[in-house]
Amino acid sequence: MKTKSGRELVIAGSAMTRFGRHPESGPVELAVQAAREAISASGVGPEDVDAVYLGTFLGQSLHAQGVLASIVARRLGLRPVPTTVVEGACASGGIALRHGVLACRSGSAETVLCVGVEHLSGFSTETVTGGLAEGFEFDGDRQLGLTFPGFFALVASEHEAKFGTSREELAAVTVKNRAHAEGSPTAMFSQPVSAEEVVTSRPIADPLRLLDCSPISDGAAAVVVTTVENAAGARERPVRILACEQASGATAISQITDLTSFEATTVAARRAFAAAAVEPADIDVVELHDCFSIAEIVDCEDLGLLPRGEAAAAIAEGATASAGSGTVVNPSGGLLSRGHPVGATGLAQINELVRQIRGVAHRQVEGADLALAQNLGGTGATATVTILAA
Amino acid sequence: VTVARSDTGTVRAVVVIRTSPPGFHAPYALAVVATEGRPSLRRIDSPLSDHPKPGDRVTLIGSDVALPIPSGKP
Repeated sequence: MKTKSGRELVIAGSAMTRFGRHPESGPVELAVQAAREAISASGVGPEDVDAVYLGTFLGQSLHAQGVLASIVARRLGLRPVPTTVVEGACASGGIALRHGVLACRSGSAETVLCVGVEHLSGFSTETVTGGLAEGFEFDGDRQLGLTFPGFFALVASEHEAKFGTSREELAAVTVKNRAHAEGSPTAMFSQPVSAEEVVTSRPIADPLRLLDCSPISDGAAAVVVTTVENAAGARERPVRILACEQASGATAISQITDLTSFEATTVAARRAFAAAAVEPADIDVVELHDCFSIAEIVDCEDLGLLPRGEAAAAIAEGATASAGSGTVVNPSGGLLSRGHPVGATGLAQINELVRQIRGVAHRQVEGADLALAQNLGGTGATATVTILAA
Repeated sequence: VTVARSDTGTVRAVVVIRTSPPGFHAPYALAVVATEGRPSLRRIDSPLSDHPKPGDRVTLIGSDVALPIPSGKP
């Protein structure tokens, strides 16, 4: 992607905190830590940042703290630049990146800091479950007590009825992603699990069990978007942004005629592949939104990585594993292993892919030159798809 | 409760919620029910051990509740 003046846009620096429980820090401290590291790695200084976009979902409603982007900018010592909080449920981080890219493309900024953050572990599971349910429309699904594990359990139920997706195939997603995260220094869960452990873990929303669900987490991630010329002093080689697209979709069950596909993902992916002039089969490595095991199956089909109705079996057979011969999906371990501090997830995906393309990832995919990130929000209410290249 | 014959639908997907948000008491079952192709979310009014499965027919009560139709009934 290029600016109006024809200069190529890159990610010059990226960073993330460890995801997990951070009782000693709040959202501001985590965001500042990730942002400071991303700026430091980027080769630009704090004085060069022209704008800040910060993604968070529950930063305001749970912590009763507004103007997070301005607070972070002041703590970083930035100039009095425009600062904006963006919210798109679990896709808040991906949307923050897209706004940063748009600002650079338009010429209103040359260098943008994009940050994502969430701090959830200090609240009870019941409170976080209720907070996350703000991602449903108030009138309707939310009033009946639908939760996000419940929503994705409905997706799993329909996927099973339509394609025969089995309980064991759901478990295979978690087993693969936990294996990818084994030994990872940034993942919340870096121990492998067996299929038996998944299917016998505590029921959360039938048919989903505890180990089918991404965990409640704290964490932050950040990237610096700028031109390739400005990134000349970056600590490591900049990564090109080929596409960064977003689309919206259903916000309530009553609008969803097919629970086994998210329109926002399919539309954003179509736009991203067109903008990047590549095909799904060209992608070497993918970080996608496995908030629940069933979500990875649907995402693989929506992105065109695997045929519709065949992803569950293919994943179970190892088609997307790091040891396989196809496109590797979630080498970081995904949300299921890394953790899911909601607003930070989209930018943590980008951080992982930047490391993959630079050849320094924990679970390195050999020859990773072309990478894709998909970040999904709510009931498919919004999604971003970003394509990066060496 | 008296319902018209046309107030029925087909279960597309069903879930038993076991971890609930504030104000709700788990476990309870919800289902996506299709009526003339239009989906809606409904609370299932039956014991959890006997809730309907995808493809089953249900009677609709008001805008929120679905009552399983025992098998063999029209």
